Amino acid sequence: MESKRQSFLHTLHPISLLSYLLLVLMLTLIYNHPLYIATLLILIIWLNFCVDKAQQFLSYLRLAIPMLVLTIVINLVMNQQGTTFIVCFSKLPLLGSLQFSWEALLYGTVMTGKMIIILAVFSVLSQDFDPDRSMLLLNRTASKTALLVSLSLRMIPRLSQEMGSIMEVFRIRGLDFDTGLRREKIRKRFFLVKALLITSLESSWDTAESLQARAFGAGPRTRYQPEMFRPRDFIVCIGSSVALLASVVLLLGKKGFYTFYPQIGPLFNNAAPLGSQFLLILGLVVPILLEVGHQKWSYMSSKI
Amino acid sequence: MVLYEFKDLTYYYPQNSEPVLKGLDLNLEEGEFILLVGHSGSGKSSLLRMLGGLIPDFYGGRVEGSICYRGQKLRDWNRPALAQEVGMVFQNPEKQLLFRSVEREIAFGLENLGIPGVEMRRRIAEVMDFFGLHGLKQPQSTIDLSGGEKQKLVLASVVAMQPRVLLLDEPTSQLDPVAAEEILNLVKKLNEELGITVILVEQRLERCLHLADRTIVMGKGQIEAEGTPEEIVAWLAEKQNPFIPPVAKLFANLGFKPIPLTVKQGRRVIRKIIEGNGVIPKSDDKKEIGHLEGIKSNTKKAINLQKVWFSYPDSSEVLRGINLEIEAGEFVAIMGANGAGKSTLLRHLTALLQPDRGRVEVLGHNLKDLRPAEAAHWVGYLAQNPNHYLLNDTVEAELCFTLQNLGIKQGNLVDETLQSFDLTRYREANPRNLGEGEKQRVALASVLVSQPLVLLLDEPTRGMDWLIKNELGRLLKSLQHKKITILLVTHDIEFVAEYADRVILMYQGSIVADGSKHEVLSRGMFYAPQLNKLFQGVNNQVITHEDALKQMEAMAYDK
Repeated sequence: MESKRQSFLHTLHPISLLSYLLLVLMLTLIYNHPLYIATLLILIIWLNFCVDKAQQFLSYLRLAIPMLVLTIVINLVMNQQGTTFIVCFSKLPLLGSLQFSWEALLYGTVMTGKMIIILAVFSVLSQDFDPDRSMLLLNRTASKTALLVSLSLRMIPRLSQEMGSIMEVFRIRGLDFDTGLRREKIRKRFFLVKALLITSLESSWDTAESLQARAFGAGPRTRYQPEMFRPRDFIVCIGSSVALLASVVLLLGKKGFYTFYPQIGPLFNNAAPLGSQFLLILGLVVPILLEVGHQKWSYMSSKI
Repeated sequence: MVLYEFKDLTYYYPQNSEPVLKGLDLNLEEGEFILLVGHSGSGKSSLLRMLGGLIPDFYGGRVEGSICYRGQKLRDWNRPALAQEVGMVFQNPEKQLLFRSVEREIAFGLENLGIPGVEMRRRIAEVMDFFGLHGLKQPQSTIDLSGGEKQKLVLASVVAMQPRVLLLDEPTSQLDPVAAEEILNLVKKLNEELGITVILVEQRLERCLHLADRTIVMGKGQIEAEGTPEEIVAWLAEKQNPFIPPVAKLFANLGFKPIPLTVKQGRRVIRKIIEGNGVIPKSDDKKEIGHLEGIKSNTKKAINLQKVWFSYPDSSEVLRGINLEIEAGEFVAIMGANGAGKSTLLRHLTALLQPDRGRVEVLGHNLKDLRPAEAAHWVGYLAQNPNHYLLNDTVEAELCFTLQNLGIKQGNLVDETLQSFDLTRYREANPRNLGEGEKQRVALASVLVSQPLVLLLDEPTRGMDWLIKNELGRLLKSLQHKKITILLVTHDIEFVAEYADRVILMYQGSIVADGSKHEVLSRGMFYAPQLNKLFQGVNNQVITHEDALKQMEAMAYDK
């Protein structure tokens, strides 16, 4: 049986991948124009589908939906600066008069779009960017911090397993975490915390002993750098640089911003230089095109 | 060439007035495979840490006498140089792994030694090949590896540092038999092919005694005996020491000299006897062997599972139509490979899990929709790690904790339980400060104080020495005498052969064998005790020491 190919993004050097995703995050935070946010949203969702993370992204999205809906609703209810009303209520009990405006709805939707982009970026990061790989970057300058972060990252699933086992033991010894008054429930959880703390302290001693036995902190270290900077990384970095430059040009021309209040502005009226917009999209689409090419033409990825 | 040289070495842990190592005089040669044995607290792990330079650097404490490594005082070696010379592997691989990536894990020690990048890559490639780790490479995380794979990775990380000496502190105690054998074979290969000096602390001598060039027996911080495995087995037999492995124990008790150490050597002796070329020594050389009889159970069902199916979310079926009846007062062992569904089955009997389909009854109570706290009135469960039971400040408080949670009046229950587990003298002691055997007893007492009629145990003998294991076995038998039904999940075939009455073998969520221990263990190839392997083809029913003695007597009579 033919095995599935590793994603193109996974083969990138951490620096090129991180710079690309950071650029997307930065642009998301800076821009508020609905069309720019929509473009970024389409690109990052396309990327998730290309690297076969659609399922994971959708699972994140499912978890975040209540919060996203709440963002739109709260903005709609609380923000009364808009002037183009969808519906007005003049005599509501407790609240008095209330107006829902198109401006508030659009603003809330754009903010929701931004949050979805952030989720999509982390969806790509979560599997295509192993925490140990990120630590390789930190390893150059702060090896002790890098080790601490790596240990913590490994500790979380281990503690979760440990907690599962301890909870099982407590439950079979008659400690029911779900019954009793709030104070009683807190007291029961305290036992769990205590047991976890004791176990963690004992484990930390063993880990420290293992570190000592493997000569950690004994003298000057060298650094293992298995990552190679290949032509594909140059291409992605050039793409990101072009997108960055184009975004700077657009920002200097005060493009990418949108007026929501008191009345929504025209979407297309604020015409930007088409060249800069084209270059921005082109730069950002580079990794996606390479990912598609990598999946379809092995010849292409062998060349870069 | 002498690697280590001890002269009158004594060591005290900080704030301890009693030395843990007392007046050791010992030489260890380069290239040797040395086995260090002794019961818990005998000082063998402390000695190993002394050899690795962790004592006193990491632990502190006071050292008297001297210890030299390659002619130079160990304290004068700087840390990187010593770490490059001496590698250490500890019991629990989980606590030694630091990274998620296999390569990063191996690279860590090399980075600490300041090995240049090019050399580092070569060494990583070499050990990955030697240990067959390529299959574990990216994107698999070290968190998802099995226990055996984790320990193999730890070993590979240490070997990549190219040590002259490899110190191993019970590296197989947390592993199943297959993984344990693989690790020990790799260690032997390192000793034979790369000439690395190996010093191994191990409890299960049947796995490794034959691998060693020299065995050192420790007791109370001193060397009680040292010599070749054959000499040590003879010494252990003379002292009636429980550490002696089953095959050697049989021949030693019958007065054979030299004493066979392995099944292969033992079978050769038996073949000679059968062919008429060998002699069974006179019976007055025999020593009495204690034996515990199995108890006939009554007919009341303690456990009843009907067509139980179960699968975890996002996984295939773990239990596949299990039908099982266990009568009250039976002592049953469940065996099988990792992932066979043994522990999942136990969890169903405690109501920690509910079946997808089928019915689970304990003492006539249907566990459907019951909470574990409710089932705990009839079922006691001892999980793998006894430390998870020890969180109160005193042993007495630990027992009271269970009673309080279950709403049972204390009455004389605590006193009686402490007495029956021989724990009265530890009543006020902090359970975490006790020895391994006592910890296990406190954990068991904290479960049994509520007087459940069914006791479930998950791998209770993991990491135990023979002394503590025998103690546990006798304790379980005494509970069985009190009509408590015992269901045990384990990989420890020798323990099962000695103490259980009935054995169930599981494979991929189904029961593939179920019967008396003689029926199940005598028909297996892998799931068979050493003594059964010894008499395969002669009398397949032999599984215990007593069976083997009777068989030898029968053979002597035939002659």
